[in-house]
Amino acid sequence: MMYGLVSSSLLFGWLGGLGCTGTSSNSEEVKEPTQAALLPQEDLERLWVFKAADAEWRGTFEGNPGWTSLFNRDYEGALSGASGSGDVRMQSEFASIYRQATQMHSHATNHIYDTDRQEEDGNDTLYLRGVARTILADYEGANSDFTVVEDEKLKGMSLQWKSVLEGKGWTTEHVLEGNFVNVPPLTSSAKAKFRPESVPHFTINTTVEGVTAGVTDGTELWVRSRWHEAMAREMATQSGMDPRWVDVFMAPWVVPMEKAYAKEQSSSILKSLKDQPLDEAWLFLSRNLVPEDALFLYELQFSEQPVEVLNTWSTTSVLAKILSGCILEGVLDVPKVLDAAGKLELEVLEGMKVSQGKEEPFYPLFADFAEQSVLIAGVMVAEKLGQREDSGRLRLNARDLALQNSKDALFLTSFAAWDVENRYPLRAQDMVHKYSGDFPAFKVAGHPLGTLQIRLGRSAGVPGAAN
Amino acid sequence: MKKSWMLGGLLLTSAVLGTAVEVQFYDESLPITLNPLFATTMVDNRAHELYFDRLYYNNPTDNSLTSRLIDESQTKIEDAGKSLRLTIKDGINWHNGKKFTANDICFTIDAMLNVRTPSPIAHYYREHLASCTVEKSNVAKVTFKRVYHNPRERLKFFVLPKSEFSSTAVQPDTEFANQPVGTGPMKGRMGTLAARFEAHTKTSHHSPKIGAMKMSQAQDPAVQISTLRNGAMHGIVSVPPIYRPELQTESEVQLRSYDLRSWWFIALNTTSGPLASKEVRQALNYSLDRSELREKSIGFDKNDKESPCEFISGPFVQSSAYYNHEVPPVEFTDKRKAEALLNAAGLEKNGLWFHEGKPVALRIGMDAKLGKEATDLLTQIANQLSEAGFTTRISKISSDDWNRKAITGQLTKEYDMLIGKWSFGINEDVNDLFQTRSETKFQGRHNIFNYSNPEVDSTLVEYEKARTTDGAKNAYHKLHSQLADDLPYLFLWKLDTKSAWRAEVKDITISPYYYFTDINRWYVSKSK
Amino acid sequence: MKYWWIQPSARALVAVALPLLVPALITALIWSLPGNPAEIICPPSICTGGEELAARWHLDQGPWAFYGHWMSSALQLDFGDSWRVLTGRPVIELMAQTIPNTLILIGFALIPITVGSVLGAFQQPSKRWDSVLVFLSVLPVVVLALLAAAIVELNFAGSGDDGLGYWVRMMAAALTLGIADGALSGSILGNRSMFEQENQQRYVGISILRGESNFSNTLPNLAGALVGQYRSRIVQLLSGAVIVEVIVRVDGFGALLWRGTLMQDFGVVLAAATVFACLSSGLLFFQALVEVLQNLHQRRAPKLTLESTEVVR
Repeated sequence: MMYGLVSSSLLFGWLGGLGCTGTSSNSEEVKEPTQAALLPQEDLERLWVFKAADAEWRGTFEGNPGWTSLFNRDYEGALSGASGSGDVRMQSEFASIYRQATQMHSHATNHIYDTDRQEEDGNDTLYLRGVARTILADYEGANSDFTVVEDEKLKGMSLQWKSVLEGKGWTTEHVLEGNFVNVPPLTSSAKAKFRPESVPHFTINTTVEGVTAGVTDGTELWVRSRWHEAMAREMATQSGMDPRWVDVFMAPWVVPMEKAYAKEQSSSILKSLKDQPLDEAWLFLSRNLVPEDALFLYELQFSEQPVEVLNTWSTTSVLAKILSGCILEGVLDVPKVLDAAGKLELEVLEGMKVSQGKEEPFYPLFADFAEQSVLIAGVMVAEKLGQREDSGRLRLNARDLALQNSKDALFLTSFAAWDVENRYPLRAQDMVHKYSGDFPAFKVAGHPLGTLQIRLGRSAGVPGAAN
Repeated sequence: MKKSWMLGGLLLTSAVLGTAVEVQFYDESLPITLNPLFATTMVDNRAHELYFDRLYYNNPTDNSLTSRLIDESQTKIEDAGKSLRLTIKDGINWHNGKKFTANDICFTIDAMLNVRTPSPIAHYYREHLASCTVEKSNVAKVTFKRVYHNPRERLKFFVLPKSEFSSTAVQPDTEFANQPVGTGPMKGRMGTLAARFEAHTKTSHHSPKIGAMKMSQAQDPAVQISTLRNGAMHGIVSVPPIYRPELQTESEVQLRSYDLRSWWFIALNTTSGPLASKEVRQALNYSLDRSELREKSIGFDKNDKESPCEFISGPFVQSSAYYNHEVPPVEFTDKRKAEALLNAAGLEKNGLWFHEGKPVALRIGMDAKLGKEATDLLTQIANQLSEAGFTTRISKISSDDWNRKAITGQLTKEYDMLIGKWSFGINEDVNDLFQTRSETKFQGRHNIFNYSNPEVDSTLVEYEKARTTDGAKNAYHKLHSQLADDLPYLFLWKLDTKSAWRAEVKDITISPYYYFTDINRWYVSKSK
Repeated sequence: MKYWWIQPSARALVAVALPLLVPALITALIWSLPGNPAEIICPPSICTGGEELAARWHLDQGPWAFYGHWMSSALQLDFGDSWRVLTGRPVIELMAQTIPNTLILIGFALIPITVGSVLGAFQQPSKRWDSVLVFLSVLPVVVLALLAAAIVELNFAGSGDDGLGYWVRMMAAALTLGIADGALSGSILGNRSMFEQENQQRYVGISILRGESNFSNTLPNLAGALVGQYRSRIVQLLSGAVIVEVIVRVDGFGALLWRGTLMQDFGVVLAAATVFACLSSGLLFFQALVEVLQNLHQRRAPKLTLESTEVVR
């Protein structure tokens, strides 16, 4: 009996004591050598996220309703509450977001009326496809579409795009006007808003007698984006900032038809701005960790030699430094980028604690921006290196790893546009739906997404509901 | 002395026996079947993605249509677009070591075309595929019923081995259903407590870095989270929402999005007593406080723009083009409306609601696996209905019974309300859920309580026959309104799915719907 | 007692009948359920191959044909295929996978019971430990099983099939079975009181005076009762094993039977219930045999010498 009691209590005690063991099950144990710190201390201290631990530095942004709203990812609040250089920043964010929405709309439209064209699609659809192709820099395709449009009204609407086709790209000389959106005047106040437009914009004829289809025109999103851009430049001038910083900010997000023009301007802009200090409004809560990151990413957009750009900037730009360490034989190694991003976040967090001698609950929220910055910059480098699938993997990771406060609407919109380019509208629809409160015109971009979703779903040839 | 010898022996034995090496994860339940022709649950689909290859599939990152089995450089479109000549890549083997040949492709197609194969999945492919011919051992010619501009989109089925079947009339009850042979990245079999996977390396087209995996049925959420944290398990496919905020901030665990369109519902038995009356069903709709249900069973942060849980008023998620935004969801209770409706339906209240002299008693069942995502949902719903004046009796329904009885309409005598979830990928076709059931016409296969409404049927036919995209959208918008009025379901919410994986499992890409498409890349690292 | 042979004969008869009756009852149950038995495997709403399936599984010729076919196959150790638990998998395979785990479980659970029995026979422990034993006896198997499951799951959730996790799980389950529901306490207290009563019999006192040990006298008399007790303990363990295996998640025969019952997998239920019946039959036979031997031994007249009879006179 004693045996039974003692052994059972010993055994249960032993079982309980195994609470912390667990099994470390590794199928393929990849042993990695112990790594040195990712960044030296002096670089770490340059990061804005590191500086955010300092209440004094943070104080320039805290209490400002615009910045507080942006931290809480309330974009509408951030725009209406912005002032000074913050105004420039928010207008640039909105301009870029709507640029990407324009691109999303264009890809969706191009797929609907090209790869996923249906019997119902009549001649009128060629106007919409022509606009989409122009924005996507397929000038020959657009030209052939516009040429055969029969409807007089649509023909008239297409005229303003012809000059872009002839010039093989858009420049600031081409003023494109919307037909359905009421553009507010450019005032000194950032509070001007677009009157909400109804969607669909207009109807077109289908090949089915008596049946029309509701459609939206991507021009409206472009016009909206350009207005925000113009507002940004105006606010920059008024606040004494060089408006070309707006170009630097927007460069990764411009649509294909303006890339050639942006590239033309880039060397002079780079040369002028290289020695200019960067207003901290471009850093705080952004994808840049240090001022040099902004110009590194700017130059990257237009370079044919991305690895060279990385190496050139690796002495000053923290993002370039980290990402150049992730290049193996000219190829960006995704696992290395993921590891580096995670490591940077931990190092920043640790650095913040050490520098302040304490830990605040919001430190991890700021430190997460460091991880996001590396991943988003990694996406851009992968795209430049032609590693399209790898850029997708990094996008997915960036999306999943972001905390609530570091979810970047601009990055997510560009991810949605990228998805739609790949003929996958579901994630984009979810994103557009979630952010439609902050960006009301997203419903314009959402319209062709819905059409694409329906067409792909009805032709999928696989069962629907599963439980 | 004797005692210490015994204990020492036990410890020594356990040390000698050592620990197994495999990536272990929880899924909602075990697969019902490992024969992909008979998949009915999302768990089935995920498991099949490990054991089998689809002839064509979408790359989970850039959505490009691709194939691990076919050499695309040699694929030819023939017969004015009605046929596709497919050439198999070299060196592809089945799990049993036999070579993958064109015979296997044609066998799979023939099995799907054979009307004696009782497969709901095959039914869909019968609409598109006409035949398959083996031209050479590595060349198959697939013929379609009509010309498609992208015929490969119609070939996303899992390929089966001809050598494992005696005829093309494939039945669901063979041993293949739990001991599959595929060409997928993992081989293995299903046991009573887990499904096991072992890397399939003796083939040219897969090179998984994970040697072995084990899928176990999800336990109590607290146990799942605890075992994940202490490293006993590596992953959880569907993390209960209530635990997501705490996992989000942990460095040892990473939350991942699993892109799936899922929405929850309470199906109402429109043939049962008072529920046959539309007014009573509408009253039930107003008796529920969805906001409270969401807060208590799922957790809700109103500051989170990307809240995983959003109310719906019809059979689609709000971001879908089919969703009719003019039909608002009912978020809160409206007791006055509920009472007015019940009175109009002829019910009387005397403490409880009475119908034809008897107190209204509601028998409520729930798919058991949902209890792990939404804790206490069943009890919360029962409580709210009790407060509204109904007697309730609740029970959970096992996954097996849910699939075999609930969705096949065999629980109409046992239950008045059934709580469940539907998941969709790109195809959001809901006709099977609401169309009058007809086995001969293969309609209404998932019509839970055999709901039948001629107006709804007519709208569903309108959708099927729509010649334009807007026509299809308008038909489903109309359906949404009709269902929100007639209420064969009380629509609850859509709930995003998030997975959690330990940080040492690296390079994870979770593909929409199928989950494990990119498993070849995943690996386990010592450093986190 | 003249008719001592009645009890063991009855036991033997029951032992023969059980393995025949149990599958017959289950077959009757299958046919008493509404609908065609084949529809359990292949509901017509999702499955159109019902007739072929019924022919393949011998469900198309009525209960007697099914029973006859099943019994004749069972005699050749072919128990058919699982209908629902693991559709198509031969039941003998499932049994081969699960029975060893149950045997290990029962085997380890018998250790404390056997030790308890031996201690009780030797009138140990003393009665001042009775309160502890009574406390142990009221611990229900479900509660202990839940405690064991909690400890095991939190530490070895994913690794219960092999290695350390497996053995920890088995030990926890075995201890639960061996202690709960009065298994351990009953074996101690029951044997102690049984031997205590027997030790007070006059013949025992006389045998001690004759210089014999009391065990050599009491044991043969108590053999039948001891075997009967052990048989009922084993049967108790078997039924308790179903609960423990399900709660502690041991992949054992009891859990298989449970799962089969819940899923209406009559292929598994038939086989499992028949095996349990056969086991019970075996134990009954053994008990009957021991009773016969015991009675023969008791009724053997001892040989008396002339001197011993003269002493008595």
